[in-house]
Amino acid sequence: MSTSRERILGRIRTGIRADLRTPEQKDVLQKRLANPGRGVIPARAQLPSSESVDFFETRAKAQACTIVRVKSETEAVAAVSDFLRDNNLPAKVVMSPSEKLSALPWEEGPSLERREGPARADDEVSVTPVAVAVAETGTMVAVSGPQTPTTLNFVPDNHVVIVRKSDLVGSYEEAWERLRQSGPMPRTVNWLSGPSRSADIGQTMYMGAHGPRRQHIIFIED
Amino acid sequence: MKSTTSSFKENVHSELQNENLKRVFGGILQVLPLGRAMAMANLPEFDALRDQARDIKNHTLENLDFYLEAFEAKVIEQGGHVHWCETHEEARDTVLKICQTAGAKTVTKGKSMITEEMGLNAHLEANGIEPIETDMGEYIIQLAGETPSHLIGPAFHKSKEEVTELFYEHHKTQRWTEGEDLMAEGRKVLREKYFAADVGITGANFLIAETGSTVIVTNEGNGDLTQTLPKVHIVCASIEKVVPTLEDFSQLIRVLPRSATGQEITAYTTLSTGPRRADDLDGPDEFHVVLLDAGRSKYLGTEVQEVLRCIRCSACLNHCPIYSAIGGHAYGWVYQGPIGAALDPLLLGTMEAAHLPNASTLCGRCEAVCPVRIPIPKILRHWRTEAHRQGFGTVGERSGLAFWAFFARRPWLYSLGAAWMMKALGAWGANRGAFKSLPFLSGWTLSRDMPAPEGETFQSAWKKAQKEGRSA
Repeated sequence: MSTSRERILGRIRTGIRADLRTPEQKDVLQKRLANPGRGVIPARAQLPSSESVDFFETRAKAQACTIVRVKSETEAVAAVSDFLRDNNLPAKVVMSPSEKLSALPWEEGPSLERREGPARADDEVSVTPVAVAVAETGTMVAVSGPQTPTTLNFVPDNHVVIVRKSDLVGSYEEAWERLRQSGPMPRTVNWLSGPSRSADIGQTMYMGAHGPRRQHIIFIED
Repeated sequence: MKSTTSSFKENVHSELQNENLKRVFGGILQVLPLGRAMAMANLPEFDALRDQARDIKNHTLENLDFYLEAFEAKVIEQGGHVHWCETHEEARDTVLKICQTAGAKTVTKGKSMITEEMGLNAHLEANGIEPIETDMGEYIIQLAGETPSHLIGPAFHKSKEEVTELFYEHHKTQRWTEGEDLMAEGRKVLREKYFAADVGITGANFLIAETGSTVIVTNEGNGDLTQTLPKVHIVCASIEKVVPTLEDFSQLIRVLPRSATGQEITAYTTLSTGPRRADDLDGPDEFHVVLLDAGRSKYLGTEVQEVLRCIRCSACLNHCPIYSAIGGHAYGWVYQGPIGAALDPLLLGTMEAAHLPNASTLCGRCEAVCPVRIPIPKILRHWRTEAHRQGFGTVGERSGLAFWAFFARRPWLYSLGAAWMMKALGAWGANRGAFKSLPFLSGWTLSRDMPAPEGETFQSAWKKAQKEGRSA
């Protein structure tokens, strides 16, 4: 007795006349998978690096992010506390247990209670790094891993993202290239482009549907 | 989901009386096309990307067996499972079994049209498992016991006031009237559900063969909490969702949200690849992909294959004069609007869905805005022909068509008959200007007058103009 898998594939092969596929054609398919070609890359994704930071900022703001640009790691640490103070939040954050964050000079900033690890239900503010950021739509790419738990991107109400200039690329395609170089595909890749939102109640857009109400970017121009 | 598509005409009559629908739908269906137009204006490469999107989907469909097997191999390689399901029944049984094996009491769900097709919620409930929709719109209609009225805004037919009453009835807290408060309440209630759920179920906008990844596109983040917090993540997807590579996906994602809401990108775009890795700090222990066919494979290589390119953006609904008048529920099944009319006959059967392809003026706006350039009017005409061949229509409709066809096949007789008819109607209606009723045409004259012709046919007027043009 044949399985559902065999019957489905059988019908597909009959429909598309897979019997006519030559070994050469199959080779072409294998090569297309192994060496993906890029299609149309928009001009906005190919700006010179002098312009791409501004473009990233514009796009992120258009998606209701707030963003502050700082010149140094010390300023970045101070900017975390500024964000908490400006939004009347307690001086308490949960952070990714990532070298990218632990290397920051936290002792130079105002006192701040910091825990490392995945999010708990009552966490209010998370601080995370990015794997890469994409200028074309102001998108930040986070990946799951031992140093970067996924829940930090979604559970707390406030998400502070630390982006370095060296994290920034122009296009999605360049972002994939970086991820491929850094190892096998992680369980989760999150493109983050602004805080959580929904227009499902009364056809009006409200922030903070399920994920963070605020997404704050601290951009280090290193 | 049970179909009421065969009673389309009755559905339409009741929906046209629905004043609330007109008020609520009117606004959002003006906003969405405007958003798309602005997104297009901000991306000069948009049309070139649409060509790419069409070509990628065509290429994948033409080699669907290859890409599905490549996808499956990658999922398995990373510790996930793939379940091939021929029918809706098989798919919902498969999901139920995974839930039962996990000892699940509650499951949270991200938005998924495939699970609507499968009628998954009713099946889980019948077997003692509580499914909780977490997309705010899906949650609202789950509370109301209704079905989605729009591909991406399942509760677009619900006013804020209705949500106030629904939430009060079910949550018994406070009668919130402000949108922010309602959203906060929905968020609070569903938060607890994510943490308590044993299984999380999501759909997939794309499957990526190169990496074995499934992709969801959301603005709320509900799909992410759904698939990160429970121990088991089940993805329900149909076979035509696969694309070859991350690069191909990148082309398609540039046209999807722009066509849907006018956003350049949604707040969240998420790729899920297998279960959590050994040293990951969170994420599900199990990863299952339920691959549904449900009639799609047998249409490969046929005239309607192109409809399988659809990426469910809803641009065709948002631009359709029929959909904006009757709303989504009249269509009677999971998919509405032009794409519903093109797709439902394939999934439900030509005769069951035969009314839908006829509910179109074939104006072509749907094809003009489609991000993967599906020739929807052509496909609707195909289904009309097919339904007619299978005997669709009342005796009156069919004999009327046969009568018309007899003349249409004999142009000289047609123009003779038409000329005589126009003269007669022109003379009869000369004084009144319009007819309030006409034999055999009550379908038209019930709701509007039929203007009286002026006594000449277009063909004869054309001929006359041509002659005058030449002599001048």
